[in-house]
Amino acid sequence: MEALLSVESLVKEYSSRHLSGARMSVRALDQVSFVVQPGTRIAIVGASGSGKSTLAACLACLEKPSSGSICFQGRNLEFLSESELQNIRPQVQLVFQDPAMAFNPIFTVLEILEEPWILQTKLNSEERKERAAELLGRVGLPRRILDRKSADLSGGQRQRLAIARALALEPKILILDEALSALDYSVQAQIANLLLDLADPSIPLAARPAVLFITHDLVMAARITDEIIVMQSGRIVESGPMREVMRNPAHMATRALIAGASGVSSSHEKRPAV
Amino acid sequence: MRYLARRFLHAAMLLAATTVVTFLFTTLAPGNYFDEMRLNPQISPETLTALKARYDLDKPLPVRYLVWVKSLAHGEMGYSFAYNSPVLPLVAVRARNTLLLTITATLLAWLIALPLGVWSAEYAGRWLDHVITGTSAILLVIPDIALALGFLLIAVQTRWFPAGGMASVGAESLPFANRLWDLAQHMFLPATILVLIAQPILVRHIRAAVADVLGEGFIRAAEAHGIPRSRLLWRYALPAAANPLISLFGFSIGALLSGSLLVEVVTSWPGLGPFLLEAILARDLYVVIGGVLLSTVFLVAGNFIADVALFWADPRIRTE
Amino acid sequence: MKRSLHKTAVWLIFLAFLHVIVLAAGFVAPYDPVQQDRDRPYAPPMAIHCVDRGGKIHLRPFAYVQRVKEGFFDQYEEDRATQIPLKFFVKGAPYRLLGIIPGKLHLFGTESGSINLFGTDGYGRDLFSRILHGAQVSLFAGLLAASISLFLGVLMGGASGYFGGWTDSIVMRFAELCLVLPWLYLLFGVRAFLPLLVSPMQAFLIVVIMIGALGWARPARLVRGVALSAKERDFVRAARGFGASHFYILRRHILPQTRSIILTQAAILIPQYILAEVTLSFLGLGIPEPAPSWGNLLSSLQQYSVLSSYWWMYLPALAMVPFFFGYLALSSSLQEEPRAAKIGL
Repeated sequence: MEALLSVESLVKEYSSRHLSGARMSVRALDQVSFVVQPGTRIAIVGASGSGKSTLAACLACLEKPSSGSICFQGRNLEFLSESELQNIRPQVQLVFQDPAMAFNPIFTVLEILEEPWILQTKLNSEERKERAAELLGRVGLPRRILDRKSADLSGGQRQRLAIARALALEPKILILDEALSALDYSVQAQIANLLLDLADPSIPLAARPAVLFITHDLVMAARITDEIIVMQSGRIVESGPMREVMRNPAHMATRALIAGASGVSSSHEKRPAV
Repeated sequence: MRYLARRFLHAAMLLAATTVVTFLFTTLAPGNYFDEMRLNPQISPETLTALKARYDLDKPLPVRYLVWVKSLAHGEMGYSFAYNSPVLPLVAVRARNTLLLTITATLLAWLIALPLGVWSAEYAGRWLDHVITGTSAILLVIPDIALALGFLLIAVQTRWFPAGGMASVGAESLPFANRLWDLAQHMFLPATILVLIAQPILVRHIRAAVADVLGEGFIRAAEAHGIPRSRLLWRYALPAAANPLISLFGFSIGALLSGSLLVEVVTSWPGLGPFLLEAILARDLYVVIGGVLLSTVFLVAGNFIADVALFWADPRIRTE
Repeated sequence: MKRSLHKTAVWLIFLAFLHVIVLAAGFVAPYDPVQQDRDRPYAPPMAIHCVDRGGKIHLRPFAYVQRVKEGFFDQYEEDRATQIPLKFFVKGAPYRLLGIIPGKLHLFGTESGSINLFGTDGYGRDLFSRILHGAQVSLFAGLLAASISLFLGVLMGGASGYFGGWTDSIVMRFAELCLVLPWLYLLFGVRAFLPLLVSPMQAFLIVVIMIGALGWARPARLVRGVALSAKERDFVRAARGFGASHFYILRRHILPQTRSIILTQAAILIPQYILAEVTLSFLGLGIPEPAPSWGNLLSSLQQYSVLSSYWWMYLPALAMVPFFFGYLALSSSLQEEPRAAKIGL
């Protein structure tokens, strides 16, 4: 089976000029390499500043790496033209952390959801409305919010909306960049269940996206994903199947994360919907 | 220090760019001073060509510009065709007249606006504030030209003060004190107009800046320490509001040579404005450039002085 | 918050009312602005009466004929013997509304004699009519120049903020230069140096366009700020993720955010530009005679004789005040309640 995404020796540097004239550069990503198979669920964990968000941006084609390669379905992104990239971008969708800033405040929910279709398909407005209602149903939101503005929704509802929008173009990869961190605990649990449903192994591969779950919350990651990649200072320090790494963490960073997480309550019962 | 050097360089480049643009504007336009003379049958074409050559008008643009820059380095500003004399002394006298007027007016305007703005902020919402803000609003709504002409009308109809010019006929022969009084009388009208034009904007900004500061914690703290209100206002609040006010003052300085054109024309004050106007209409190239350069120097200097003052007054900028 | 919305609406209606009157100047004004009456130069404003010398009340207001005083050549007095009744909706000099619709009906006028509410100028032309028609020119100049400034400002500021990098640096440096140039002098220069082949009307248009073009810098800076912050928002990144082009993002996400800035700037710029046109015309560099504009109506005041004897020539200056008042009030209510501007009220 061909790998969906293959990342090799990815490096991303940011350089800035200090007032005195000296150049300082920071390596946000340092020789990152890994592979994503279709339909898999991978967690990318690390402390703040470990490079996770930079990695997400590069994978979603929102940033260009300084060196190294990202191959999507065998095609190296670096050699693609801008218009070819425009075709790839919809297949790798990113859900951001802050639900408040993710939507244009003037847009209604309908406008938010139909934007990807306006840009990428030739559906007419009737069809778009129907599809939007369908999408809302998939993420557990009622149809009547189509006319509301995003500001009228709660945090949890907005994150569901963000996931709905990300699914609009049936992406092959869904990246969630700290998408749950800004939510209440009980709401997090619900969204986690939603993600489990969306990526359920019983769904045929063609309709099931691979999920990259970026977080610093190890407990949540363990719930949702099967594989784990641990990052520190822009490097991958450990990776493998979730259960094994959790039981026998080899690297200090992994151990530190586990230690930090164990202070959190380990019971995530389903709470009534908010 | 680095910061100041950068700002200075920036100002200098701006100045240079302005001279280039002005040169382009005035020379790119078709026709020049001597074209008018062509219509005069008494002047032969050869004389015209000779005159043009003498004033370098037949040389290409970049050459003329460089020649002018070179003369600038020597302290000259080119030659006036109409007055047949170097530009610098002509422009200097007029600029002095303008500055006499505008410096007086600006100082007066600030001296009046500061207390008005501070009191307006202090008694915000009460009748004094309403009176001050209301008067400001009325002044703001009357356009400059209406104010200027209105006062001119009053001056002419009531004969309370001279309605034009800078000095009475024969004033040069008077003793110094009398001359000064004569000057003051003539300055009364244009200065009043300028002060009234500036008032609403100044008062509004000062009020806003002080009102912002008055709401802050350290004022309450000082109040609780028993510091008397007037001292609080002037020694605590006003300095804290200095930041936006210094920028505003920089604008005032910048406008010293360029903001009074209309008033000078209306009141026949022999300043830089009317002189430049006349030169533009006569296409007296180097006078125009010299005058514009001088005005721009003030504008840019005003901004730069504001930068320096801010740098000195606000420690936050120093640590940037 | 609701009150501010109402306030904005009130000022908008007030301004619209004033502008409609000006648009309909041909109808509202009793006389043609260029029609001269050499028999009555510098006639003072006529008073309207309802009660005559005998104490009798007339339902129809009237004015007295002005006749030249004995022994003077430029002073008038009321001739209490002859009355001129004021009639409404009279047929008078032909005009064209908006330059297209022809008409002959005037709001008020007289059948014989002439009624000059604001007096006449040196050629006997009715000042009231001239002020109304002059308003058309000055307001048009202000609105045109403001539109140009805003259009350029949004274009340059939007591009500058959104694309950043070199575009941003160049545009901002250029903006600084434009802000520092003494543009009034430059405008005089352009106007004075325009070749004589260009008709005065064309020259006027060129100057108005230049006033607008030079004023792009301040709105551009504000729009740039909006574009800078908008482009960092997640919803813009999301749109990029859907393959949106730069043009789409600018049009759909960034431009709408600039609406409030555009409205507030418009309310500030329009009176500024009206003033600029008036100043230029006052100094003789604006629209040519005999067409009236508020500026050239005032230029006769540069003569001492006019100032001392014919005070009503000052009235055009006061005509500007209600407009400035309306625009200023509108801009402060817009600034007070940014939401009013945001929803495009």
